[in-house]
Amino acid sequence: MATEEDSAVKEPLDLIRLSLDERIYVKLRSDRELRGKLHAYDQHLNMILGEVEEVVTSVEIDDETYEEIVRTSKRNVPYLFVRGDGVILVSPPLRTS
Amino acid sequence: MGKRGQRASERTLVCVIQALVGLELLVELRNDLSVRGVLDDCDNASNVIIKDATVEDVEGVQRQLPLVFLRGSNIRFVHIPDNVDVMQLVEDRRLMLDKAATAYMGGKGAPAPKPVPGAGTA
Repeated sequence: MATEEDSAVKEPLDLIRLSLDERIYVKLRSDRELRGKLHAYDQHLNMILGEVEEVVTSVEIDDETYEEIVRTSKRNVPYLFVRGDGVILVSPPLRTS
Repeated sequence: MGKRGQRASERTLVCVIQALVGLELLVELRNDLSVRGVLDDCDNASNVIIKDATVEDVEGVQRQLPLVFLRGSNIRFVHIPDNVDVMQLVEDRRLMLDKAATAYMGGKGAPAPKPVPGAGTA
């Protein structure tokens, strides 16, 4: 059936191929992270993700105490095209302890 | 990895956006603006033209622009409507382009067969 598909892992992109149809974690530029199901990807790391949760992290410095306040905002998107130039890393979902 | 046809767009995921021409979608830019409107055109660099656009900034301020050209490098996300069969649209577009190409050749030849479903990239 899969005559064209070579299942050997030869290059880093092949590792991403192993995650197709699996949930993955993607770290993007601008302190963003995505978790979603990988439907498709290409050599530019453009990706199509399904059932995505996006987490945006921002750090504010309090004017008086100078402590760092870390805020995160989340949202869900059913079906998303991600442009590859914003992608930093791709990984199976991290296990949070 | 399978080779996806002859077209450069078919070797990357840009063909997915090109298949969505005519649909209303939301494009998020790297500068946190979002543009909602009907996708009029998309090229191989994913530069897009959006018609009847509503541009919204982080504060929620909206502007109506009848026609927007957006450089592809400024795109962060494209929200794809989830009520469409994307695979079918991509295949439809591929067939249409193949038919147009063969018509140009005086009708000789036929559309290339549908590529074997494979993983990822060319």
